[in-house]
Amino acid sequence: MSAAFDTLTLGSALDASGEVLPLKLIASFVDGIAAFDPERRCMFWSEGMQNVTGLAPDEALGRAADEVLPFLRAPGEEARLEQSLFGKRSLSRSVRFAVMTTGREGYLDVHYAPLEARSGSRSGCAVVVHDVTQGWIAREKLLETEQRFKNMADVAPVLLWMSREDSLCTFFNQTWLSFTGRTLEEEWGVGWTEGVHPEDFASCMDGYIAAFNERRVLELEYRLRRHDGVYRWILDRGTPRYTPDGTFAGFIGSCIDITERKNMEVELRQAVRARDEFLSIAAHELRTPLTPLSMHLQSLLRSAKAESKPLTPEQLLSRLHGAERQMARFAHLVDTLLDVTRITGGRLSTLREEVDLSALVREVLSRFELELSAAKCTLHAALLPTLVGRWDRLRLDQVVSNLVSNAIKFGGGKPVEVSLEQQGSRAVLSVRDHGIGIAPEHQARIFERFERAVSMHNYGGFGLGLWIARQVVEALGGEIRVTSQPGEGACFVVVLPLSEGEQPTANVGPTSLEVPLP
Amino acid sequence: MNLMTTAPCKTILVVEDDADIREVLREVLEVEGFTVRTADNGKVGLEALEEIGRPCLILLDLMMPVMNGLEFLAALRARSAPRSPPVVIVSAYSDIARDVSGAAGRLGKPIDLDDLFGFVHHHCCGSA
Repeated sequence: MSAAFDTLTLGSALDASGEVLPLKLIASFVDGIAAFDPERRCMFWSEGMQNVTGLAPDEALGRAADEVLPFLRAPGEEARLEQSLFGKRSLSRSVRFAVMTTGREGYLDVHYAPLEARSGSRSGCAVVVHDVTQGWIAREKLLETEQRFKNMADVAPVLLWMSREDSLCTFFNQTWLSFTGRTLEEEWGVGWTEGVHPEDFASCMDGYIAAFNERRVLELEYRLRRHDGVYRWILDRGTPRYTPDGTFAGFIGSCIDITERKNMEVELRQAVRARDEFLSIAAHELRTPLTPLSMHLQSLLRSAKAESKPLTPEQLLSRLHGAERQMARFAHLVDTLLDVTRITGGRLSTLREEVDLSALVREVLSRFELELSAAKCTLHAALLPTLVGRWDRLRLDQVVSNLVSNAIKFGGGKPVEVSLEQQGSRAVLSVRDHGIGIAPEHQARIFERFERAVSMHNYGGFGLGLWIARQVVEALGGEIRVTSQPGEGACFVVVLPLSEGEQPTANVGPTSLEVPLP
Repeated sequence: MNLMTTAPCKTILVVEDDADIREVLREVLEVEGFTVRTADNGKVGLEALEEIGRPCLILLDLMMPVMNGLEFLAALRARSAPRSPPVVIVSAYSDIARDVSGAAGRLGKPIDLDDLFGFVHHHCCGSA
């Protein structure tokens, strides 16, 4: 059989020079080589062919081409073989094949080449097969890995991106695209930077480029526009990536939304600042009664040491009463400070008992008589003769005192109006002044702790009164609100359920809270 | 310091919003023989000056409603310079008081009576 091959010349693809290649050499090629006569019977079957297909030469020789190379039965393959047998064309193909002996599937690059006898007459064709299965498997694995990465990236709860070695971003996961509401095409390259907040753009770019050029881990915080147009704070961490041979291939990064954290930081900073301010105010407020107290004592001392005229008994009594008053004032301030810790510690307890709010308001007003006249504020009170509910007497006294004291303090010497009426099962107390008023933007703030709507350069005070008032009123199931215009005074309204369990707001709209002035 | 020999009828203006401090200042100064006018803010203080003319001393709080101490000082300079009465700042905020230019002196709170009478002696009991 092999003797017949001596007469064969291999086709141009195998031997471009036209030389006869030694059959032994051909037989030992790693690639499989087979030759078929015009009847498609196998004339030659190399060792390489046995390695690739699992068929030994003895099993293959003399058999039909499509029996020994089953892939020829695939649509179109037969025609290619035909072309090589009867035409002059060489053809190359990649095909998937099934190995007969093991059932293994694999990939072959197949080359068909016409064979000519030395005489020049057509004598069949050669089929050269090159096993590319390993390459294909590697490629499929790579594709699978890439697909798996993409799947993982798309379900990851973080925004992922990847850039090339030229710093252009070529990958954004679905989470990113959903976040920005843009397509990969829009984000591609530097498109994503369109979503960066203008104020953060420069620092974001500088940080990225610097880290990129230095091939170091980057960590950036910037605002990125979300699909709904809202800018969210993003923490972006990126790291350089390298190919297996160590070549820099770009960056890969992940981002998380840190807006909540950022907001908390801001709130925390504000809280710390408010506390610091409060400490300074508290120190000042506590020192205020100490000033007259110390002067009363110094005056007594000077008199005792005969450094000044001896004090008359009246003057002496005045000094001592004055000192006593300042001590009480100091104690009151300390009590207020203790209220802060009580309230923030959730320890504000109310002691409910039967209270005539009308009598309580009258009592508070009589206590403020001197202060009212000193401030040249006339008082108009329109109170029910009696209004009894179950409240905490001392705490309500504190609330009413705070409101009246504020009305005098900020009332600018104009009339102060206090009214008390009953609306259904609720008591409605209003304290109105005609002083500096409160701008709308400050109205919610004044009920917060340590807040004040006025400059410390004009008005002292802890900035706690209304906050405490609100805490007390709410602890009693009621509510407190303010209506005001700058320059036109303020009207504070306290609505209190007469007993526990009543809702303060039902059927009491804002208009019904407008208290008619006397 | 004993001010008992001080000539009476000299007037001191106290501009202070805290009623207790205002009154105790009035009392200790009146005991020493001074006439004391008080005002609870800068605006009232300026109005008082219209009536009493030039006091020998103004004791001025900084933090007050309506018109605070700094505003009062500026208005005072504008209307009575160069013969502005001497002003002693009385403030618990020592850092703010330090930044006030043109004041004759500063008193911290609580007020030391010796320091107070020192200023009073200097401005109200001299040959001026």
